[in-house]
This record gives sequence, C-alpha cells and structure tokens, in this order.
Amino acid sequence: MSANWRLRKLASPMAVVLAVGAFSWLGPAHAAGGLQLSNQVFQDIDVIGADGKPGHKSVPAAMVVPGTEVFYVITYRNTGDRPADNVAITNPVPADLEFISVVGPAPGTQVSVDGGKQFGALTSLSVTGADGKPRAAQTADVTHVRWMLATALLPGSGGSVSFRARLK
Amino acid sequence: MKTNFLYIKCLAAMLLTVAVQQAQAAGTTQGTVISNTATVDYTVGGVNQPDVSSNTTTFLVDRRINLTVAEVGGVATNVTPGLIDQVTTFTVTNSTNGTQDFRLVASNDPSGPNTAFARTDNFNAQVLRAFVDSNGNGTYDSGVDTATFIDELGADQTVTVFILGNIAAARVNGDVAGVTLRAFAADAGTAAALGADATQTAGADTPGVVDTVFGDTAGAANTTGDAARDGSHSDDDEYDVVTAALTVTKSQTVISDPFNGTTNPKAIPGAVVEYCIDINNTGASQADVVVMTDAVPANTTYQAGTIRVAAAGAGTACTSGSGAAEDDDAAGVGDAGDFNVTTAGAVTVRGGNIAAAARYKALFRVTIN
Repeated sequence: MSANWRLRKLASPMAVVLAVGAFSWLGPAHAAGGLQLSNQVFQDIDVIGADGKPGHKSVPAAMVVPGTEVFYVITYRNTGDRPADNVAITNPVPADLEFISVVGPAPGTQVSVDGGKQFGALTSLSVTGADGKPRAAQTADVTHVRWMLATALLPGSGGSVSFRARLK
Repeated sequence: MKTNFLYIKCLAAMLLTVAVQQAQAAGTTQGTVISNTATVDYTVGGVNQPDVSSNTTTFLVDRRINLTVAEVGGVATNVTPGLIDQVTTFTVTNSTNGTQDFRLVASNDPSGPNTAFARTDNFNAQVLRAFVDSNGNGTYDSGVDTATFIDELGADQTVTVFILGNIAAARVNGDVAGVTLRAFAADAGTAAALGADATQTAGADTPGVVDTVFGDTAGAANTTGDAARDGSHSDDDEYDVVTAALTVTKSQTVISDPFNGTTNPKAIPGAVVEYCIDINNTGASQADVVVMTDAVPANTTYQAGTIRVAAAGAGTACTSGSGAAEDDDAAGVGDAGDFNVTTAGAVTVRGGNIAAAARYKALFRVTIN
C-alpha cells in the first residue's frame, strides 16, 4: 500500500486544489477581463490518518464506478475592472450523472428539470410521470443547476459554488 | 502535502455507501467519459456580456465487477442410483458495467448439514461438469450445450448454466449430494475464448485508464473461499437420491402337526408350516417389477398349490388364507407365482410394482420331512 500522495492528472490539466487550499486559474482567456470560471470534480475517499484513525479526504475524481458520488466545484472570479451584475452560473448536469444536491448554503439556487428551458426551486417544478400524468419533480429529474449571485461581483472578487452528483 | 496518510482502498467504504444488493444494475458503461462545463451569464453597466464558459473537466468511468449466481427451481434434483448426467440448474447474471467472460467451477459440497435445501450432504456426485445453456431453452441439451465457460456476456444479461453429475449405483434412498456452481469474472474481448480472470486495480488509480473494482457479494454459505469483493459469486443446489428401498421379512407359523392337529401344533416331522414373506418398500419411490424368490428350506417339502399372493396382514405378518390362490405353474395371464418353474426348488412370486411406503405379502406352505 503506497504511503505517498501524488497530484493526479485529469484528462484536462488542472491543479489539485481543495485539500491544499490554493488554486490557479485555467479558464479560457477572455477579452478585456471579465468573469472567469474554473471547474473541477472531486470524490471523497476514506483515509487513515497518522494517528491510525479513519478520516475523509477529497481528491480529484479518478476511480469512479456506478454509484460513486462526485462533487463539482465551480470557482468564479471577476478579473475585469468593472463590477459584474446579475451573475448567473449555470451547470448542465452531465449525462450519466444523477443530481443529488447543491453543496453548502446557496441562496438563489435554481434547477431545471426540462433541459434548461425553465428554472425554479425544485419544489415548485413538476414533470410528466411515466404514466403520462404530472408529478412533483425530484432530484433525479434535475437537468441543470443555476446559481444567481444576489449582489454585484466587484472587480477582483470571486467565490465558488458546488454540487454533488452520483454516477448512474 | 502530508505524506504520512495511507491511501487505502477507499472503495469498500464507497461501495458500502451505495445500496449493495445482489441484483444491483450494471450502471454506466466502463470507459465512458463524463464531461462537465459551466457557463456564466452577467451584465456590466446594464449591458449583457457574452457568456463565459469554464474549462471542461472529465473523468473516466471505471469497471465495477459484479455478478450473481442463483439456483433455479427452488427444489433439489431427485435422482436414482446408477444414472449419469443428472442436472442441477443455475443462472449467472453479469451486473458489471461492461461485457465479461465467466470461468465456471462445479464442485461437490463437503459432507455435513446445511445443504441448499437444509439436508445433510453424505456423498459426492461423480464426474461433475458445468455447461452453458447455449440455446437459452432452460433445458440441458446433450451435444448442443457444450460450452464450459460463459463467453462475452453483456451488462445486465443473464445466462443459464447446468451442472451435470453421475450418481453411483451404490447410493441408497435418502442420500444427498450438495453441489456448488462458482463463477469467476474474466476479461472479455475475444469471442469463443475464455479471458484471464479479472483482477482488481491495486494501489493508486490511473485516471486515463479504466481501472477495476470488485463489487460482488459473498456466495453460498458452504462455498469455502467465496468472499465478498473477490470477483466471484456462487450458489448451491443438491441431488437427492429418491428410490425404492425394499426390506424383506420372512416369518413362519406351524399350522398343524399329525398328533395335535391344529391345536397348539408343534414343528415335528409331518407338521405343516406356513411361510409369510413380507416385502416392505421403505423408500420414497415405487419399486418396479418386484420378483421374489424363496428357496424351499432343506428338510421340508413344498405343499402343492399353497402359494397365495397379495396377502393381507399387519406389520410384517400375514393373515393366513388371505390374498389370492396361485397355481404352481408359470402359465396363465398375469401369472403371479410358481413353484420349481422359474427357479428350481424355489417359490417365485412376481409382486409387480410396490409403491413407496407400501407392502406386498405372499404365503406358501411346506411340510416338515
């Protein structure tokens, strides 16, 4: 059993972040500054600490089989010189993943269950059931997640949002 | 980064957090690339700005091996001693998120209790073999179902497998042979060829390559070595020997002697002795075509015309005079007995079929020389 950690290379190169607490930007270059987005995927694993006690650790998702839970972290930053308003970050839930929840307090979060046409709180949405009748939407029906920042994002400011999903 | 953390196989915990059921569906196919991109929409100074996309992050879906072997029918296979190619039936379901081959092993269970149907195993079936039901009809077809391993079974697909065994002629009614079918996941890819046993990716994962995790459960309780997450699964079945078991009891009664007549007769020269033959089938199957031969004892002379067949009586005894009189020759329709014809010096009785838990009795008389 190896006792050393190596940074994992994912298919698209990015730095391993959360456990170390630092990250670098790799979003696409944007003309004249403005918002930039970075997107990473992680999974939780169990580890045994130096004291022999079990604990958890987040690592870049690399060993994922059906049923595995992963979580995406989308980090945003205003690299421009003017405040950004009405910031809305939208993440389509990847095919073969089943949405579980957003992570952390996220006021202004909305979901879509119809492929991104309408957004709202999950409890307010409905879908057509297998029997052709409408029923209340459930987390498994979510196709998109959207976070809407309540206030303007000042230049140089940023933050992150996150959601959990399970591989079908 | 601290290097004194041990990277243990977290997968046990990961899998335990998922509902572990034997029939868990295969899920997303191994090798699928899952991609994610986020976009942001915003305004600056009231002017809508072009949407900005994040990078695309991806990961590869790895292989989770899972399979289920299940006995079919819910009852033991009843067998008769001396028969070959007796069949017990199983299904094998591939719940891996990808196509697999499966290596099949048929084995005898050890002696002892707790067979598939709660009996006690006391013998081994001989020449155990496993064959795949190639035409999917659920029945073993000799010469057609010849494959000894499962080839290229798709995700969430099921196939039927037969175990064949021979039953030694010396087995008796009530004997039980437990058997187990164990299937080992093997790598697919080449049709009509059995791949190597699948192995679990040890140590660190490899992001660009499909890794393997074993997600199977432990198999039948009496399959030694079939643990959870070992890439195999098993189930058990049994052969129950169900046959006739005949017990013959012979008793005699002195009917008369020359001096006492029929009052307390003694077994002295000249006495008439009546023999009662009781054939008791204590088995669980009918005995067919029972023929009983009893040599007339030395120092006695058969009394002509005294054969009586299908007699009545309690326990092993016969009721004198009951049953049907039978002449001494072997002729006639359905002749049920003779003296000195079928076998020299002996009474022969043809009892026909004796059902399980039934008796057949016959009587004949001799005089003591």
